Amino acid sequence: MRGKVFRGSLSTGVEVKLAPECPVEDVRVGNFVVVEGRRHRFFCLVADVKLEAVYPGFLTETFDLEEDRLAQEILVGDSIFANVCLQPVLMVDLEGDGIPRAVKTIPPHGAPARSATAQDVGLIFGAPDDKTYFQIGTPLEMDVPVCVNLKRLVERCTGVFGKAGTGKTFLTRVLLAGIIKSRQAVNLIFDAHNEYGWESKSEGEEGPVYVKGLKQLFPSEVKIYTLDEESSQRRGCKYDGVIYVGYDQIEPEDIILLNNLLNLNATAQEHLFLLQKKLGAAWLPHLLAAEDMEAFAESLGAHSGALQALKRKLERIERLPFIRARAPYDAVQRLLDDLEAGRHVVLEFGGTPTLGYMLVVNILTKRIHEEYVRRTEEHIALGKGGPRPLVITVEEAHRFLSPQLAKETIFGTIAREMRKFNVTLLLVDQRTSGIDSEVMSQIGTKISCKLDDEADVNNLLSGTTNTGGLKNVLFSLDYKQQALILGHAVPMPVVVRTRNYDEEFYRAMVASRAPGGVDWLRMASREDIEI
Amino acid sequence: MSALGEVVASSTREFTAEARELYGSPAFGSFVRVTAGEQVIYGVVYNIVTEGVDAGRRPVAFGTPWPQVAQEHPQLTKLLRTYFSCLTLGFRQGERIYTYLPPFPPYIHSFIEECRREEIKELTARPHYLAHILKSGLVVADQLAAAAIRQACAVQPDAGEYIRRAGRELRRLLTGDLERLKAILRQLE
Repeated sequence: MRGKVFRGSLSTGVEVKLAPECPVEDVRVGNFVVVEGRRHRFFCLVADVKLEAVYPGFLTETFDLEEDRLAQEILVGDSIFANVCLQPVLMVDLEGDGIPRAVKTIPPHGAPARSATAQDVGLIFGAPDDKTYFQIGTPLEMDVPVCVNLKRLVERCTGVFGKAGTGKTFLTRVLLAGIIKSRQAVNLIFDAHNEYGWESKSEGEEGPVYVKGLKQLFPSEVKIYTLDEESSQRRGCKYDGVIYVGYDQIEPEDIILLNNLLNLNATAQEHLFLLQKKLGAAWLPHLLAAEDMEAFAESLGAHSGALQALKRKLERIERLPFIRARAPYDAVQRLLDDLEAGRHVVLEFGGTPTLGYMLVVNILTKRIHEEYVRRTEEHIALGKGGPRPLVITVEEAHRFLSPQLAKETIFGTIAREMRKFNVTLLLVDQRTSGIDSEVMSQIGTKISCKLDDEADVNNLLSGTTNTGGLKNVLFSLDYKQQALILGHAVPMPVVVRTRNYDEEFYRAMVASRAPGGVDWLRMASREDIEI
Repeated sequence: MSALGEVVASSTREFTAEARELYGSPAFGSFVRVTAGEQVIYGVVYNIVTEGVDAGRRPVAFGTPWPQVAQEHPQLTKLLRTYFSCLTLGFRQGERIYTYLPPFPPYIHSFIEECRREEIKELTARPHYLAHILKSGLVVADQLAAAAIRQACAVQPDAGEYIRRAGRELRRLLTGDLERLKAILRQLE
């Protein structure tokens, strides 16, 4: 596109009159545009496109195809024109150091605007180096890499959002692979739907396709632990261990987190704490084993009816496949050892119900959080940098970060302040409106596939300035393979056609990582798996 | 180049000439030139009138079509005169053409000639003359503008582009009066 600036302000954006010879239909919301000022080059996003006329009456005029051909030719494009509303985001001082900085002024009237070139994209997003700059996709209208700065990405929380079926999981896989390859952080992935660790089935254009899991791409660096051994075996997953949770590891707070699923009233919640106070760590098995509830209640000074109801509800926990009276080994310690050694951990939940997923995620994260706080404090005492940055990937994030729970759960704490302790979250969710807005505003990098619910879009953009244009961008995304990225890891918001998670990607990830000439990709392919 | 007529009335904005021959005026919208001392004044023909020499005597109908009536009554060619009026568009002083009113109007009895091709090309290269025409207050201003553009584009290298350029100038001058603009442009199709 080409055009000239004719109106604008820093708060509402710059408006460009599209050159008559450029078809308005080629200008898409989210496109990248460069405006050449006299001393600065401005990098902008197309926020809106509208038709305008020099005189308002022209817009409602109709032209006779025979008689008014000339009038139409002269007026349309010139007097009746496309107004491309741009949101300037970065500017480069042409006489200065050439580094893009946040925009602080606007280009002058008449300044020429043009579509960004590959060179412009490279200047802003950097060239992929698999260390810091990782290619996440390409701009919609070009075939040049758009990179995220992984170092910055793992510094703060990241969110991958989008409606179901818009490619969140693929995008998350790409990101996780990037983090693993770049070694910017270690990952702990709570894989609720068994999609990240090992091969999984996915919907392709020509029917279902099998896509590789992270362990198949990085066999020596990724460990898979399962909470549902049978399911993992059925799927042919080559897991490294089984995780069990002992009753003694479950605390009343963990149960309260499940309130939405267990439907606990205030009395039940008070009884949880009473039980723990009276019975210590083994409160849950005692409650579940109690047969004479009257006597049990009397011994605790509790209400037998309330205890009976609580017991009935907590029996659902007893039926979870990974629950044991005592865990055979300290799963958290094992995970921490792996993470410490720089290995990435995927926790598969198999067929575990949501209740189990939430319980385990909360218990493990709480322990890991405590451990990271302790280690960071030790590092500070020794005058060293913090422990290896950890990224915890959580699916169904709204279950942990809803406005009711965010202030109480460990995830709310991590989202708000754990970057100081080198722990950040990678949240994957389809309903941003279900996540506490305070948490949303703390998310450093937001990556959003298609969202079309107004409430979801509003919540996603909380904590972001100049959201008007971005809203249009979000609404205009395609259902597949398109995402808007904004925040800490990219210098400016950008719409990308996301990178394919396919053979080419596998090769790029495995390239230069196969020690001793071993073909890891072939070794990890489906045919070679023996369980 | 032979004279088309002789100036019989002259003012800063316009001048009128008697055609050398009856019905021998240049066409409506054509560009003409008059030499007046060191300057050449350019105008565009906006009105053509044929009437009796004697203002008090009105021609009468003969019931015979022209030119048969002229053969039967040869005196008629002496009793009738054709006059044409021109709107002043600019002038030449030395080598340069200026597209605004000349300091002095043409002299009476000056001869009017057809504009030369190169002169029209230079005079109309930029469509500033349209402003003179549209702001002249003439009843026929819009028609005159269209006729002048038609004459001008005949000498411009890219007629299509010239018409579009003139059309954009008209759009600016007509400030939102789309119906007037469309009416003029329809005459240029």
